[in-house]
Amino acid sequence: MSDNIPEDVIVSILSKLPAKSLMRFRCVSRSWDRLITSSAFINRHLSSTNRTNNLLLFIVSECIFDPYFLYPGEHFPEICGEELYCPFRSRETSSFGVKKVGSCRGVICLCDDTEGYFDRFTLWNPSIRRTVFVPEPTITFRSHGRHITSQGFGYDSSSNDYKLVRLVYSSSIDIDYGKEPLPPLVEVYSLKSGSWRMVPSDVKLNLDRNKGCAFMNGACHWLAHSWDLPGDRILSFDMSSEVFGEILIPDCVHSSGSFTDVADFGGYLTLVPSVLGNQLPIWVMKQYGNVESWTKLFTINVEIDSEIDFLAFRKNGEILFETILELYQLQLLSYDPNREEFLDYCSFPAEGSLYVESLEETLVLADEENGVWDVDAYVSDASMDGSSNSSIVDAEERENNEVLTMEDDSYTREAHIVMMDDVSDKDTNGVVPMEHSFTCEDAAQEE
Amino acid sequence: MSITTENNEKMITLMSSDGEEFVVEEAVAAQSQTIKHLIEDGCSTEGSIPLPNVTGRVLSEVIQYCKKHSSSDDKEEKELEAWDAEFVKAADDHVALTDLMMAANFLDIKGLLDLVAQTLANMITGKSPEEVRRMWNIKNDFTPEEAEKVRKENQWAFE
Repeated sequence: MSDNIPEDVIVSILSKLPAKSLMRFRCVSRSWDRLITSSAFINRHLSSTNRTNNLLLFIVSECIFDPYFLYPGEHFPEICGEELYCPFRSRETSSFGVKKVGSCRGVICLCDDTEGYFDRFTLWNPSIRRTVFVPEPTITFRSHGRHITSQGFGYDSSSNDYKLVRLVYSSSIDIDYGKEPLPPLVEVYSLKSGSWRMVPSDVKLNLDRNKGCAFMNGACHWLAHSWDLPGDRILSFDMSSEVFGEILIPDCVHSSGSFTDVADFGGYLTLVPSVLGNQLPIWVMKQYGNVESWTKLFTINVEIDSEIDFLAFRKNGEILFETILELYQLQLLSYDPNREEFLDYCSFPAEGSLYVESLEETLVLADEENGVWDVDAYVSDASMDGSSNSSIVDAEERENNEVLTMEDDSYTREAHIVMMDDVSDKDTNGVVPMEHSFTCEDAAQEE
Repeated sequence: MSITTENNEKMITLMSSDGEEFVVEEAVAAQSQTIKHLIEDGCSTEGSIPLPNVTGRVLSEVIQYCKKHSSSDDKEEKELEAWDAEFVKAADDHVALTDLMMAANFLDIKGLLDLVAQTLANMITGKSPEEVRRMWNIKNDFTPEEAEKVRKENQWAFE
């Protein structure tokens, strides 16, 4: 610190600053750099009163360079977004496989699973331009064959750690209909450990592929269904205790409409209505965990000719939807529940899917080494040493080592061919069929 | 030394580092958690409370703030906000604000600490690292290599 100013005074001032100023002030001195990137200060900054929310918007299409935009504060769409470089790209030439897992405390978790053939994840805090690459999970296409996964991302307050949970179900073609399916394999990645580990599960509920996750009350939530009983349920996973739970949805809610996901709307666990109908009821659980407290906040009347898709609940109470106006024209719509009307926000000359996420501006991940994305290195490094953080590769170092790079490339292409081209006859290709490998014990033995 | 006024308010005396004495109502002074604890520990009955870290000039400002905030209730929040804004404006520059901030920190007055911290934060938010170093006489103790690395890593924050 400065010779005469105590550190707690500096902390009081710095905890009021926006992320961008703080990342710049890391250059002031060694002690400022150490302070700003310390875990204690990151948490202090998070709990300071004047929090801002940024809006991250991105389009996933077949385009190689899909733009990511960050809109400051709550001024979307009045103020132009800043175009960001997201170092996470799909392994394909396009970003087609990139999906949003979820977000918490300013960090968004993205995944590229290209429909079950790759399992790559990244944690990204756009407010400080920081990326952490998650090592390859234990259960992959190579180890277990085809599978259906859903993920959840959240914060474990008991250990001040960020976790990614992955539920891996046997692929639908292997399911014997009418029989109780096997419970999913569950593995958890923790940022502190930098690795994945299996977690015992007796989950009886099924999740569809890439179900949206809502992190709140310290737990991840997904809309799930039972294999033999009608109606939806909510599956929860407590990020601290790592225990699954189930939240029931009463019949009166079911009879008012159908739902696709759960989300956080103003701090309430909320059901995302299916957009197939013209009446979209917004149901929230007013008291977390109390099944009696499900309340219909309002119903959205859709009087739009084209098909709409739900995007996100904004912190200001608006609900964002997307619609396709014509070929290569995505339109962002906002529904204002108070005025009961849709507003056209902006349109994008693109084809694909829009993603919008409201993110708190935080310094989370500032204490982590920034990952430099290298697609080819990822797969080869992960296969050589899947349990370490070796996916974080210094691009410069790689340039200086041409021999290694070439070896990596050839390996990568080989792996790529096995993964993508031999899909049709995968069962005869040395891949262990799902039904034999799909228990926790087997996975543990393989380790 | 404990004096009681006509309103039956208990008064205490605060002594600054440069020997200036301030007689204030105990309720006003007790907005400082530090002074409150000193009173609770019986330090005020022995005479004036010495505050070796705070000069008379700064202490008079702090007392001004505490007086205002002990006499207002929640209904006057808007008026109080306007008063706060004028108050920090009067402190004029970062040197005076930093002195005030250090006093608020030592005396543990949360409201004042937040107010001045926010004012200083607003003041530096757009500044360069060099300007911040100059403001507070902070030594740049990075080696040229370290400086280059941390600058490169956060280049986007300079644009």
